[in-house]
Amino acid sequence: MDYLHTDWAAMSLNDWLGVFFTVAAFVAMIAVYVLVFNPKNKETFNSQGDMALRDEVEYNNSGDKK
Amino acid sequence: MSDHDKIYSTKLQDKIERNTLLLFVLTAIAVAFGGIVEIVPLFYLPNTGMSGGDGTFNNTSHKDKQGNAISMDKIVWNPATSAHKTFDTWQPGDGVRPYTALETAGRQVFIREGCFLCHSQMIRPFRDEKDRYGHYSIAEESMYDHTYQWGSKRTGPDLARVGGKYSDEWHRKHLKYPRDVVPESVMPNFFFLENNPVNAEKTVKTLHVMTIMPFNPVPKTIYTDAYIAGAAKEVEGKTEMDAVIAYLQSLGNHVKFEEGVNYRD
Amino acid sequence: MEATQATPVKYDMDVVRWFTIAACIYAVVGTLIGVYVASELAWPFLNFDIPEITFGRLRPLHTNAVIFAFGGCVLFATGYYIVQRTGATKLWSNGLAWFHFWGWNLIIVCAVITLPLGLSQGKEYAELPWWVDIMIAVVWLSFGLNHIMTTAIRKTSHIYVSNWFTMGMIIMITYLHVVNSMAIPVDWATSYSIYSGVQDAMIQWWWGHNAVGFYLTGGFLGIMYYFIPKQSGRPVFSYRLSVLHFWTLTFGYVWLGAHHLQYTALPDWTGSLGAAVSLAMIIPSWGGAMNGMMTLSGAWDKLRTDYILRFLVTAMAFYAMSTFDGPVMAIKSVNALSHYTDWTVGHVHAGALGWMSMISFGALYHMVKKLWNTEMYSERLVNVHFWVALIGAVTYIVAMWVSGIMQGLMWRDYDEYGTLTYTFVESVSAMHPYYVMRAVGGAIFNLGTWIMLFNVVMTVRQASATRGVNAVAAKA
Repeated sequence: MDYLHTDWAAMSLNDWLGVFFTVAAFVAMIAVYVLVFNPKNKETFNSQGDMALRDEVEYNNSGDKK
Repeated sequence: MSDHDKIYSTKLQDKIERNTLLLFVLTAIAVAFGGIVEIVPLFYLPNTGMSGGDGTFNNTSHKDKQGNAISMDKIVWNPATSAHKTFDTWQPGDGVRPYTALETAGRQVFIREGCFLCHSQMIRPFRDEKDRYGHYSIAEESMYDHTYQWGSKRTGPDLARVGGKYSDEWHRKHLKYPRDVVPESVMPNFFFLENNPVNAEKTVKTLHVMTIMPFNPVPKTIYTDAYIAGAAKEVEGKTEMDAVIAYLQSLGNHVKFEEGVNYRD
Repeated sequence: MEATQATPVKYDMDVVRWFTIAACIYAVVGTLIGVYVASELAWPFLNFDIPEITFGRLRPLHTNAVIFAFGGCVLFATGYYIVQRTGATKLWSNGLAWFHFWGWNLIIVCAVITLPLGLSQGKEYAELPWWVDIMIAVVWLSFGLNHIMTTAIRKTSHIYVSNWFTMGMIIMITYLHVVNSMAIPVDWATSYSIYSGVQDAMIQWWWGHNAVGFYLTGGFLGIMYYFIPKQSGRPVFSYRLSVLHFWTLTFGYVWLGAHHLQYTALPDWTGSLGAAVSLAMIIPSWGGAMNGMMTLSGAWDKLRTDYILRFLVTAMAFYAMSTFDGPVMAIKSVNALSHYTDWTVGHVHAGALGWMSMISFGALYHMVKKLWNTEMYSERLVNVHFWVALIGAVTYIVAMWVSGIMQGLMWRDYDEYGTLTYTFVESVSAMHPYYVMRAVGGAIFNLGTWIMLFNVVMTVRQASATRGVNAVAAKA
């Protein structure tokens, strides 16, 4: 437990800034995970997944420009 | 209208995917964070070897056993307070100093030949590194190294404290034909350095460039106009071999380290 | 879905063809120089007392050739290819793309001349002299502008995930290159960084690791997200996972550079922060690797016959492996052992040979077939190339892992009297067998690139005979 001891009184402005950014980044990451893996959002997020395959069907050509 | 617009929580992502400018701006912001957080504080926090170029430092907090702050003048050579006031009288232990003209020329050769690809100059605070190479490196020791030379790989040994460990003659033999001295070595032969004279004009220009650096310039009190003017003479008749040896012999003996002082926190 | 269905798009593919061929050539050249510098460490007489080919001068040429010549040409070929096809539009400016092609190749020529002459700024992966840095900035921005503007004028409603990754790369490399290359010239050959010591170290590895993160990873993930679906004929396994993959990597990768500087004179928090975020990156990286591999679900049988798909899927396996290896090496206690050793070299090559090159080979073969509207000259040679590349890569990586761990253990070993067991040079001679093994592995890998170059050249020659006919057929 000694290892985890923190001298809160000695925290400088820079230390607090660091804590703030670290916690904010952590929360933001969690938020993104929740958002992306929410089953309700699956369909909309996945709706463009076949985009790479569409060009064959929709505007198929050999890629020659002339 | 597609059904994207119905689900509020995915609307932003959908908007981004449709809008090049929005994707550009948000990506540009997202990638900026990490660099700013890790780099910018190093320019103003203490113990990062950042000087104002006039002998002042971001407040130091190297402390001895009793918790007293160590004077910065003991770590970085300051001609104004040191007993040795000129380059010629500087002694190892007087504190970190910039390179002499000849050493500067040698350092240029060191970079040119890519020595840093196999030799690090950064000793970590471990028992084996202390026994093998010496006291761990501190930030101030590379403060005048424009383009730091810490390296990332030890195909050969660390050179941070190689200064004074071997004689000039040993270095000369070793640099020329390493396997004559160390049979197992894989280092290339650098005998050709002995045929190249030091480029005096370039060395003088380099000294001048070091005084106009925006970060950690060499103080004008050290690279005085007189010193720079006499630099060409100092390197006259010297070969690149002499220069590299002078550079190597200058590495790592600037600071007199004291027992019980924490030089990193 | 879109109105473009009726009118076929005429793409600007000539510049893509040239970048494709250039990539095949640079793959041979870059790995050949690599084999040579590896051999110099195994047999030092190969330095031949010629200053221009000593290890210290050739090694930067190897790294620049594989990263910027080979890797660059692959990224530009695929970048222009993907952005046109997924956007159903021509390039914003075909002329600018040609400026980019010739400009980039001019830079490569400059590198080939200046690096052996010893013109170096002394920063790893940013050795090129200051005036070449200016050329790189101009040419890179021409690519960035063209790519982003082509994205902007697309005919499709959405921007495909590959183009997000490419955009991330364009922005980040611009930041990195400009900040890291700041220097004051002494003369035309030499310049010195405006930063020094601690600050320079952090900026250098911010550059060094993000060149890996956004160029060699981000850019090539863009390739993965397009070519695996195309080659397998299946949509991306989970597009929402790629949304996660993109945003977390884009935000998170930037922080990793500091893990190269643990236990150095840098303040402790910086290295720890880098290590912590490195560990956090395992999840999105593995998500992305799984996403690539699972795109094949339901089409696994294709792996038996489709040699190009093998390259692409093997690349994902190596991607998963290196993105595990990396965070492990960032853990402080592991880094204490692995730093300064060949383990780092092994890790880099697990990424470079296993992930980046494999995905590039797959994409190049795929594009050659499409661009010249033909089959490969020899499918069997593609298969041979696959096995040769795999054996070469594994040999190399295993050699470096073993030698790296051995080096680390030898350096820190103490005997019963409390003195160091080994002198440094004993560790050097103990490395010899592994350095030989590494050179052999590299040579095998290099052989594969010759096979690819031969196969591609024969394919193009074969196709050019019938190309006119095909063009007419495509129009009809």
